[in-house]
Amino acid sequence: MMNESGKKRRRKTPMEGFNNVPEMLAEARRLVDAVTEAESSSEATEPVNASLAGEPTTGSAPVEPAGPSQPPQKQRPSRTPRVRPPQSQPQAAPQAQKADSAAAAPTVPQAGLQVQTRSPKAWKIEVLHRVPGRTRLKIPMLKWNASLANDLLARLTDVPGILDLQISTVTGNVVVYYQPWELCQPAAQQSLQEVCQDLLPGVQPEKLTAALMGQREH
Amino acid sequence: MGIIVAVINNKGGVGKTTVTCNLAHALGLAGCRVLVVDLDSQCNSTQMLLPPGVEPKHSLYEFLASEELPVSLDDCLVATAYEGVFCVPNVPETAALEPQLIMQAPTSFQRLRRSLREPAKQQFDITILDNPPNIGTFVLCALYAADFVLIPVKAGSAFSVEGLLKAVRLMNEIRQQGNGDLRLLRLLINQVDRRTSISKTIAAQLAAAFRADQVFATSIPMNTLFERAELARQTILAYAPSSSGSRAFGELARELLAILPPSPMGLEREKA
Repeated sequence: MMNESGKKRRRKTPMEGFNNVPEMLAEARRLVDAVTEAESSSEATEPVNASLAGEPTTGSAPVEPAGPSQPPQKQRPSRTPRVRPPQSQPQAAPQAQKADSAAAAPTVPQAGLQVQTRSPKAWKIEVLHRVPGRTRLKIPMLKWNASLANDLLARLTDVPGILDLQISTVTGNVVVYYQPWELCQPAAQQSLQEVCQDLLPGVQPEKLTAALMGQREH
Repeated sequence: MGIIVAVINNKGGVGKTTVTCNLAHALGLAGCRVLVVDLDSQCNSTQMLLPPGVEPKHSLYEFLASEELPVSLDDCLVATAYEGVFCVPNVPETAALEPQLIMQAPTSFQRLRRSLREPAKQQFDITILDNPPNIGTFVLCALYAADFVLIPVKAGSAFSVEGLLKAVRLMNEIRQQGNGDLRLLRLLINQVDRRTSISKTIAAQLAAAFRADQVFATSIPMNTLFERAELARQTILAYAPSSSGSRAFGELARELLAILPPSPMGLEREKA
């Protein structure tokens, strides 16, 4: 759109007029860091305090990615697997998530909060789009469930035949890049069965395999 | 021993009461024993949590009125409509205590700490203090009594970022003046409206400005069901269990429990 002088009018960015927001955030961060530094310099007296003394915690804190000394497990495309959380959520390093999930026992979705498992529709996997080698799925259970998305990302990228994976916790959509012939092998089937058992108890392994390969239910 | 979390932000309308009540309910569903102390004389937490028709005999007023402690925490406790969640209700008359508390300052600021802290930590896994939107006497009392501060920030509101800054400054002052154990639990990005760029921008700036262990990974989405639940005087987990807001609070409770060490009380209950 042109203004009277004939120059192209620049569209306002959302933060114009609120330029003090980054400064306020930086000031708040500095104050919080000062507290953390003061705490870490003095010995914590209670275990609760010690656990929250600013040290990274499982699931929410960034972990250093694995070093280059670790051999790559398999050939992948240049695109790295990632979870796309809501904009406010910090992204965790995928390789580190994988390492975490390998070291720790798989996390079953919590049963204490019935809202997650009440509806059987939540476990439904819908194929939105497919081309050979790539499928876009919708898994409603993944919406707003960053921990399940991270766990699923870490586990599924280890499945032989799955080359790349992108998960959006905003939409609950999963984009899978795969090698069809490799995904049909017994090793892949076994891995998918374990994934279903550990993370998606409401999903049958054969249905997950079919969905990953883009086969729609009739 | 449990922990005590004060929910503060100097800006009103950022969702302190909503976060307090819904988080308490989500934690209760996860098996925790939770106490909500309503320090806001608007009494919204009390209204949302107490079952209809329940008339509490004692409230925060009696709890704070005198140093001699005419009532104990047990006298003030009221079981809420939600399993595992208890409340110390408030009454509007508590606002009239403020001049008295100011006149008796600074000892009166420690009154809540002396009377609430030990029994609450012994009986409950998590105690959540819902605060009024100001830097007044009750907020100071809460900060002296608390272990942690949870600051909800409304995505899309620059004023709530200003409130965050004031809250952090106040927290640091209280740390230096008497409660050295006080620290930030996490910031919570609340009321994220993904349709508006201003909301997305501030949420992204918040996430970028702080470390991952300073901001909850879970954010709470904007959802009209929150208002409807408020109208029904219920938490969103009770009113609309399958809503996005309800799922977000479930996720928030899980995230909070994951960063806290297991409570001895919780372990005892698991054994039982």
